Amino acid sequence: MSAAAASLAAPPLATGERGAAGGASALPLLTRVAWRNLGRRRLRTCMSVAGIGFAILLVSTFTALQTGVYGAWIDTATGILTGHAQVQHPDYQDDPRMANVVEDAAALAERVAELPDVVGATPRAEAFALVSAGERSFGALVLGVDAAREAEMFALPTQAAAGEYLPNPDSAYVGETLAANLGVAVGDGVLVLGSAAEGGLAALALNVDGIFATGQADLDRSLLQVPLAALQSAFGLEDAAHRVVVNTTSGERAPSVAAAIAPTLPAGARLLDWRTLMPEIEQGIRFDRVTADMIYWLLMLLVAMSVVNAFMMTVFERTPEFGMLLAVGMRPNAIVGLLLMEGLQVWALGAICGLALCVVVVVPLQIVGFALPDNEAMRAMNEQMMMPERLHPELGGKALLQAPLVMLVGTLFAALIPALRVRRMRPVEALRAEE
Amino acid sequence: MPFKLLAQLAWRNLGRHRRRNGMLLAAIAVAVAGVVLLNTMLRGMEGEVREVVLDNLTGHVKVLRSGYLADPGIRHGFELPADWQAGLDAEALRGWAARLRVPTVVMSERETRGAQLVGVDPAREGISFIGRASVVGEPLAGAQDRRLLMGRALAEQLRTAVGRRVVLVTQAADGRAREVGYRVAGVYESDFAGLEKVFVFTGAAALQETLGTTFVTEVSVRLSDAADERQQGALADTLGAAFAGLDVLGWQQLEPQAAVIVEMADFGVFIYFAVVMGALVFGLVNAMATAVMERVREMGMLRALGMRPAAVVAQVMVECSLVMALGVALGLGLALAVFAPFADGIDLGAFDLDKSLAQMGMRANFVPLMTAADVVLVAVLSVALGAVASLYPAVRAVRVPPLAALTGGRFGAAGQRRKAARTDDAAANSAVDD
Repeated sequence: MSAAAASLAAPPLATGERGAAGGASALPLLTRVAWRNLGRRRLRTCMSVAGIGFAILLVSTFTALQTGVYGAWIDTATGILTGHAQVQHPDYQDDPRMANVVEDAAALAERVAELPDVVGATPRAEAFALVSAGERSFGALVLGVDAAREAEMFALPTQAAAGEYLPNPDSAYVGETLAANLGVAVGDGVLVLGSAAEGGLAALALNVDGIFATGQADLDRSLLQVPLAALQSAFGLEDAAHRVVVNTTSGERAPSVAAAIAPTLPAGARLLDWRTLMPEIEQGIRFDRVTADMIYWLLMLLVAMSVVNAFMMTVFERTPEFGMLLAVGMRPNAIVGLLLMEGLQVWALGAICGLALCVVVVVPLQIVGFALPDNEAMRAMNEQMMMPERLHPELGGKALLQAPLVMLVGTLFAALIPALRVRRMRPVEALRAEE
Repeated sequence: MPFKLLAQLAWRNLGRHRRRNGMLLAAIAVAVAGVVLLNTMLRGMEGEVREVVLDNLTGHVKVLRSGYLADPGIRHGFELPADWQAGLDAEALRGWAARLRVPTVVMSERETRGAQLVGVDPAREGISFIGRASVVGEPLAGAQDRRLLMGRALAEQLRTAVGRRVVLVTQAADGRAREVGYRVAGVYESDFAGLEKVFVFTGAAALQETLGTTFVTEVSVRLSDAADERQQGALADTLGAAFAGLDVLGWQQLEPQAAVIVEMADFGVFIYFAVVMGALVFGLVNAMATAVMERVREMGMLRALGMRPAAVVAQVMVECSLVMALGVALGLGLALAVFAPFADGIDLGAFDLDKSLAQMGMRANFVPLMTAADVVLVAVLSVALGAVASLYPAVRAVRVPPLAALTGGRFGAAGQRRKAARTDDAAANSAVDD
């Protein structure tokens, strides 16, 4: 009999008559004995620890990466033009007609901007129109904006490839591809022709004062920004607009902030957050989560199966020892407890190793961030998906706790299945098992 | 030692610990099935993205006049040479289409939208989505057809319908904007609302007449589905010679995002393997090490009887490879069983994922793809991994001197020292059969 087993079989633990108090005082002993048992098969212990550590390292690191990327992705995508939330006419999202407007939009924007957790709000009116320069004409979306607020809230005004952002009441800020297609440069005139709100022709003569390049093909090809007042008067909108775009303290919190301010809105207006405005982002995050979760669960299942196997081997090998312990009066449950304690310690070692490595990998990346491979195709994809250029993982509670806790349950369960065999052991047969 | 004998020994040894080896087999099977199924998803995504791009009026290779991409319009068109198809390998080809594609503004009685007007010969469009799209109303009758085929999403935006008239403003060959009235012959449906909003179609010859030109703006050539990159390269070379002075671009250049996704898939197959098998390898080494440890005495005896160390190593490796091969077979069976019900596709639209898939260039009906090459790759890599993982336990087994092994020591000198320190451990260390 091993020294460890002998000390375990010694009173007080071995004598079954001792009550709960005896069990409690035995815990440090149990811990020590379990620890010594782990040292008996070092390779096996190391392999189990390494497996658990490997799973925790991978899952925690990638969870941290996902957490960081999702937030940045939402902020980058909404920061170009869409904003965290928008106040619209109840029908505008599904049926973007000229007549589906929010009345007195500038005043509403000011009021919304004062609300808690709202960083800014700005009105926008929009119209599909024919944009012409000389003989050339292209269809484009014309956005009427409040230049000063727009510049505070969004990236597009800073993405000027030439000229400046709407300095005058008759300025136009034109997408790079649209400008090239029209054959215009900064300083040239363009004519916007469309249908006014009440029917009839709306015409607007503008001066190209700025040209932007976002890398988003759709925006660069078919977007034109003009001062809100110019668009409102040309299209007969008076003080109405189509959207009041709202930015909150963070994209991830926007849905709850939006829910809080929705009841304060006047009738004839509804608030939509980015999940409705940009369903592709919300779905993209969900898609990414689901596929990653499948891999995480597969990883953790495989490691748990290895641990089951390791404990199965342990129980087989130590059958005579357990027979001896049972023979001298140790309760089967105490042996199960001992094996669970060994499982707990294997898990703890694995979790410490896995998390330590995860911290070593993630924390520097969290501070400096990292860029995806810098080639043209990758950049084009990032711009199309509206991903940020640099990614910063975020080592939060979820990344640090989720995988270790799942592995804890998995490891204890894996130790328990073979351990329960001990309860069916008969001391005499178990003692003879080695023969 | 003959391989047959080795294999026999290994097989019998596996039977000695049914429960342990059963658990090991189950773990290998789950890992292999997991990797294979993840690969089918990756390959499905790759195939889908490529198919959608090829279908989306792109084809494998396209001929354009340089400058057209930056400034699409009839002034960047070109004359179709009479004999340009002479050098093409008809066997490898699925088809080709010459088109005029020009930007336009579509005006209904109520709304105005920007779009691209594409002049096509409907008979040639079997190579693109529009040739197979379902149409409400009538499809275009031929290259002379002066009517319009419009996407459903655009028709909804313009609030127009089959039989109604719309006005299109387009720049003609003389540089002047031309307003032309069209009757909507049909409204087509595509898997992507984006395509339905962008493309309106009319007869190519009719559009040439309207714009006052004999030019086309693109020639798109599609290879048969089995074509590889080499054939695409050959096609590009042939077209380069036929259309001297024009740009000949592969779909990878025209749609770089899709090319990135397709490239990443080849890489991803290995990443999945490394990650999943990485998790498996700890359990594998564990089981093999135990199998070796408990047989130290037996191996000592075999060695004492004259078995060479190399044969001992070989026996352990064969045993591990055998477990791995069995596990791989089980895993492939499991993967097939899980894959079969989804082979025709999974409707991800039902999970509200259609918009994100569309952004990645995929349709909502996701079809996983199991390729023989990937399955073989996973199987071969797995068995190789099994052999490598068994190397360490095998070498440990050989290190035990036969005499020490026979007398119950575990690992040579180190084992002996440990044994001296804790002699009472020996009982617990010896093998116990289940």
